[in-house]
Amino acid sequence: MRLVAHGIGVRLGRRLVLQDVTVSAGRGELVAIIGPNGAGKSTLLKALAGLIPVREGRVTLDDRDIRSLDERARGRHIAFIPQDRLVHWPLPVRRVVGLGRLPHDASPRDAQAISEALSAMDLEKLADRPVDELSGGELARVLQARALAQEADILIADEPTAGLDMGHVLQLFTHLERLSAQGRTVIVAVHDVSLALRHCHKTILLKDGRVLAEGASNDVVTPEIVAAAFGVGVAIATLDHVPIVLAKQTLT
Amino acid sequence: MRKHAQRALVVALCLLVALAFAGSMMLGPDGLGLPEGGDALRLVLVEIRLPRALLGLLVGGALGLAGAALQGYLRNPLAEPGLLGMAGGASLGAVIAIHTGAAGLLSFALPLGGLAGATIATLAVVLLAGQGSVPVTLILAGVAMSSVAGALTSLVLNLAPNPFASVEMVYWMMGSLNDRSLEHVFIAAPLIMVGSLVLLSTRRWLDALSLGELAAQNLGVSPAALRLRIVFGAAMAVGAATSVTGAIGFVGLVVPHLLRPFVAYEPGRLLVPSFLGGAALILIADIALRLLSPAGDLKLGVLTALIGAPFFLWLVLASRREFGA
Repeated sequence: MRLVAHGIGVRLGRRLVLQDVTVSAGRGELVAIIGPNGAGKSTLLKALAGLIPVREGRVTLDDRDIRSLDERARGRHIAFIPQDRLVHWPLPVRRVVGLGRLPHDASPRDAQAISEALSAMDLEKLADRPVDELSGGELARVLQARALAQEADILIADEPTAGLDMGHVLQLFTHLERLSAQGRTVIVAVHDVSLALRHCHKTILLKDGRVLAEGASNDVVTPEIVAAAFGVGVAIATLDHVPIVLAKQTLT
Repeated sequence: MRKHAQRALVVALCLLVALAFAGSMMLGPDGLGLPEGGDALRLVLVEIRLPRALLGLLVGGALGLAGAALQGYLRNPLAEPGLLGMAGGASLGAVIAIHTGAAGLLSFALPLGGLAGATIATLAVVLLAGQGSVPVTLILAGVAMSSVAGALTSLVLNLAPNPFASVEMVYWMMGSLNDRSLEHVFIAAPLIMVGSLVLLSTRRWLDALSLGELAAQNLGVSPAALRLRIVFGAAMAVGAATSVTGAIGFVGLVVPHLLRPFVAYEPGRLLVPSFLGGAALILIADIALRLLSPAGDLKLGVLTALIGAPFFLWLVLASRREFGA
């Protein structure tokens, strides 16, 4: 499926958070959204997921306006992982993951999808544990497993790596790469620019609510472009075939 | 495993409600027993004891269910059915009915006054809260409406035409199942049942809401539709309940809280048990009341408050332990 934002503008209260943003993600693409704090990454993800209305332009899913789909249908096409890791009651892990099946309305695949999601996120041993007994990283994986259980064509995740140890960051991205290889579309906001360069086909760089650059990650994550967006001198190197991006000094 | 436990809980609560209902039907002013045959038996059972037991069941159920639904919707275990202002509105409507003397002329003017008050309060809360989908605006609107209703209720009490009227108002506000007739049942039952069904229909949405509003919306919850169902479901159930029995506190707070661990904290699964638990609690409290004070001077709402207040203290101590203070 193809998800496209056509020149969207979003206002939160009086603030114009996104202006004239045009981006797209196609089948099998793994897309990173990067940008300094307050650039509008979370807002863009919510608009792409159809969770907030846009003031200008529109978001389409295979040429259909996303806000014209009802909530349940949207939930079957797009799984969204919010930045806040909220679970308000100490529910068992399996039940939280099972909530991902709600848009499917008791389908025969439910049990299978839940156990696959648990195993993909390495959670089988924790399945019956109440979520208030988990560490922050474990909770993050539970909420990611919830989105996987949704079995949507498109997965949108807002800062899914925040608070994860390096092992689980790698495991998460390996899994996202696998999903995109299966033909799913994956869009992730990340703080660590190295992750975009290393794992994502495509990178969208936002600044002050506008798209500063969009394209193949190699073309977007360059010292010049990243420096212009983040206001720091940047070094990009490759160590053991792994690209790393580091801030060198603050530019004034 | 989980389903079995859930079913066992519901069956156990159903049995408890059935027992309490039967107990309520059997209990008269001279203790357990039925009057001797014929018309007296019919009169006592159908006209006196049945309305009392049915109202206990429905009102307790409505309060328990509305409490559980509001706690799930607001994701706050301290939410209670009065929070959205309907109970305050119903009380105001009822005291106005007493003040104007309408209640003295027509027996059902009092509950109708209560319903009118609850309806106006609900509409005011909806208008006040506006279109936004954030629950906190709803709470603010409800609290504001409750305080307006509370102030006006005090005013009506203050301006009571005679001491008897003010005593009647105060007694009514304490909440009771005394001297209720089948008319009261006919007024309240349909509204409580429809309101309860509306609240039950939010079951899966409340589960999804456990993950926060954004995730819930992604799982198919329409925030506007959910809010509508919660407000009008609670308004019908709580407004009708308060209109016929007066304010009965703590049931909607205590019952969901006690039952939550038995349903693995799932807000959706909590709804049916909370209806049954609320019904059982009110029926049992009403039986205890009649045994303790056969003359009927002790009011049901007072007894539930006496049970509820220590529970609140226990909650404070439990949360102190939890936060290590």
